[in-house]
Amino acid sequence: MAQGIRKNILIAGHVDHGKSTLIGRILKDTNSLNSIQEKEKDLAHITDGFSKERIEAKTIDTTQVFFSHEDNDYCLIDVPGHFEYLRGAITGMTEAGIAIIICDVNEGIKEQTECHLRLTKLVGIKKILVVINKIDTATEEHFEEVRNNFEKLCIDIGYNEQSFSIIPVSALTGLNITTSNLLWFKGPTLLECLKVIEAKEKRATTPAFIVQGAYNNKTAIYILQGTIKPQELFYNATDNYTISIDDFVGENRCGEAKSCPLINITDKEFLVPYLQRGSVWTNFLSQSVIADTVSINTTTVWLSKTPINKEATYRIHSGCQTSLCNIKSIKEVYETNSLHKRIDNYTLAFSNIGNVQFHLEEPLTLTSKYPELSHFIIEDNGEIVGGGIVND
Amino acid sequence: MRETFPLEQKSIYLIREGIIRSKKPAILWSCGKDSTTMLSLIRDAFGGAVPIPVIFIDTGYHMPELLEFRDECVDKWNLNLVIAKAGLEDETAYTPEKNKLDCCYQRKTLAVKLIGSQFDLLILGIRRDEHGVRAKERVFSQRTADWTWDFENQPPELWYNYVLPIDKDAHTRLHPLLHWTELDVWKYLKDKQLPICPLYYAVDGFRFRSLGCKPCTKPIESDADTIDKIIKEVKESRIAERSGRSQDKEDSFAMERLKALGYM
Repeated sequence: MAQGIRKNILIAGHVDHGKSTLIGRILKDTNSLNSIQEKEKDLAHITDGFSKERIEAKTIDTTQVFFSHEDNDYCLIDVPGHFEYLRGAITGMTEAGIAIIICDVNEGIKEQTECHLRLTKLVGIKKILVVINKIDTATEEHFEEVRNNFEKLCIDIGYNEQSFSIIPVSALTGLNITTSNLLWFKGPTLLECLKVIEAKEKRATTPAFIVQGAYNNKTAIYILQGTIKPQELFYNATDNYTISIDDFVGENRCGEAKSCPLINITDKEFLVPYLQRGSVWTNFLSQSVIADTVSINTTTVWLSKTPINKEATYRIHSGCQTSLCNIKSIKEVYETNSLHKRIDNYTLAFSNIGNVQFHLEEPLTLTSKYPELSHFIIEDNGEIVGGGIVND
Repeated sequence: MRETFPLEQKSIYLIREGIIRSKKPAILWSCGKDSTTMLSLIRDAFGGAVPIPVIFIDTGYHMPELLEFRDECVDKWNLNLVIAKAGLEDETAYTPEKNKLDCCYQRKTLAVKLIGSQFDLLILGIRRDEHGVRAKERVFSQRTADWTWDFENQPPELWYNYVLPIDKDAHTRLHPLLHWTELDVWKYLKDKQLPICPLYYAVDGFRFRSLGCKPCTKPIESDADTIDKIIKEVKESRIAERSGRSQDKEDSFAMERLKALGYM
């Protein structure tokens, strides 16, 4: 799904390491606070909108704030650091393209620092900016020590040296946020980093679309890639079938990637004049077929207080596609509530991340070639109990 | 391509997801700039039609210019308008003079409840940048059968995967404009040349920046009598958008309490 016209930046990290304060500081120092926000005495209160969050001085649920700086538009996504609010944290993470991982220089890497870094990797965030906070209370040597630990952790989790950078700041006092006012540090400020950081998403080049549904015998589609024009032929591998696009309906006529036109199709054999919800179609001439499957290998995070039941039947949703599913195998499980802990008891409890192989009752088109076809959630009777990405 | 195009496409996807998957969807339309933007996005999602009922809440305190604008749009876009009223036994029992939050609850929230219980999905034009509590909303936000919002235990929402409630007495609030800002909305209204309620334009040095009931909505000082001037003003202003709305200001958490009871 399109992320919109602004950079969506996640602010994650351990509880009390300064996520909400950093957001307040960025807004203040870029002159982005409105008349009501300006009256807040505590910078963290700007994103902690619930009364309970202020009374208990903690973030309970994720939130988003918008600001502009030097002609760039940003959305900052705050997430809770408490382990019990993981479901809100991961909600915010899936909207981000870039992540700031904030860490208190005096505390170093803690459980939720590592947990959030593992989750940003899981949800597919490609670029990480590690921000070592509260630097007004520490020395350069102290910063170097925490930086070395972070380099090891990032590489251990699967981020290579080009995909992360590490800077010191003080959110509370405003060091190295918009100006280079930290004398010993020669690198960029936080806002300079945000300006240049770009995350490239992985996306196949074959023109393709997925069907969202039908309205008045017309087909509502979402374009995954390429430009789609009338008279072009599209192919669906599940039914081994080809259709031709007649024309676009209404004013929303753009056929570019990540747009949602309504189309008429020509199809001489099907009895219905529209296409099935969830079906994926690729350009006939591209010769590149996306096959459906009844078996997927995934990285899954478990979000229910009830552990995964290997005998149960769940429902998987991926955008417009859905099927019943059950578990074939569980491997390489990480417990995210403690540091560096890999467990091998082959189950998933709340917050655990593991490699899970699912069997699907109906074939679905799930692949890592397009982000939209790789993300999924697991539902159990109306409750979202897990989610993750498909690995090829 | 319009600047807001990526935002629009995301909204269109969400609107379709809600309307295609629910059984009885409806949109809440206040005639303000946000919900009018939403009507336009619904038209783009479905090839020019608004295929669902359009609910207008009549609190009894609306400004005549707004009602006139409403009827023009109904004609222009062929809307299936449903006017919702709370049906108070005693009109004088709940007034802004007596208690603003009670008045909001009785005249707005109860009117929505009365009509809304016929629907399983209500589409609302709230945005994250309007208010700190609205910023905490999910795109598909579930409400229990008794209409409360359990905001401390919101379910996760991963990417664009949504689950509708199983309890048939519960309903979903769909918020397809959460990712838009006030400035985005004005740019969109301009580029699409959409109808705009005249109250937004400055007359004699004042204009309304946010539209609500007459007694509880104050105009701001402004000379912005064209859409370009409004865009410039919104871009430069540091005044909060809803600063003219008195129900937000009763105390810091008035919005949270209103919303927990079913307010938008």
